[in-house]
Amino acid sequence: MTWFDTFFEKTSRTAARLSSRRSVVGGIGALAAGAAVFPLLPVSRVRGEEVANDPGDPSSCDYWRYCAIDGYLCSCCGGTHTACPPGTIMSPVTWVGTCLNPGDNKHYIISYNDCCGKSGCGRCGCVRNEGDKPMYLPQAANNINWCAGGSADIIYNCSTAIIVGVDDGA
Amino acid sequence: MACVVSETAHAGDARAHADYMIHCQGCHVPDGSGLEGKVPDLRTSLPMLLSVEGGRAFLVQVPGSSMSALSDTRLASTLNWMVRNFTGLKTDQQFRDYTEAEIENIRPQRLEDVFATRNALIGHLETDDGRPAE
Repeated sequence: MTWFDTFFEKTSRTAARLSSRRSVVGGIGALAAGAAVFPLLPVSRVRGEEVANDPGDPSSCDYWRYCAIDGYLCSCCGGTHTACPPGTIMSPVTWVGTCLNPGDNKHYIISYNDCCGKSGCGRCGCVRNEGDKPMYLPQAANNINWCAGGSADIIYNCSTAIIVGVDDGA
Repeated sequence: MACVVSETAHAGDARAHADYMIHCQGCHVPDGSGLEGKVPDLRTSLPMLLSVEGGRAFLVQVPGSSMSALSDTRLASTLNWMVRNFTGLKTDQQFRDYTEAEIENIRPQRLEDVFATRNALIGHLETDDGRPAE
């Protein structure tokens, strides 16, 4: 056990020599404050699920998740297929559709949350509209500017495609 | 037998939850809390509506329900799922499940003015921003 005692004696003495008691208290304080503030950082709270077999390129309109999309792809606009570009805010209300994943042959429920607050991105326009209904069925129409519900109001930038569940057809 | 029953109920729950996600969640958001001033909070508005006469029918007749692409059976299951999961009404004594026959009966009766009807039903129970009155 001697080496054990020596090791800890040495490390303790080094720690004591190199740091004051106040700095330790300060460090703990900073850590506590940081831990409390971290959850407040402005990140989207939308719960996205990932799938093991997710074939295709999220910056291409052919990507399977985009089967019901109508808009610019955020993955071409500085964001990703699940995250908004910097400077935009994800609208909490959204158009939801289902798409077949060719990787596992399951239908997934996709939430096409719009990113809002900066003018239209203009890159990778993608209109596929599977399952889209006319505007007189507004809850199933993807032509609605869903940014209207969010805090950034109606300025539309691009669209994401986030998996929110599986539709097993049961 | 108990096992079979619970599995069936579970499968129904999964279907109803998927239908909630596809047909309702876009506006009402995953936990039913909605969007203040724009989309009602289901967690508070469902119990309020179910506590007054006519509120139970109103929940079937609001455009989001009555005009949805869901069949009567699946609309009944989705509404039941929402009440069971977003409110404290857990037992059969607190809330009687909607049935297909009930939906079929009340769904075609169109609301002339959705907001006026809602206000007449529960306006006295809530504040201007839709929260329950203290």
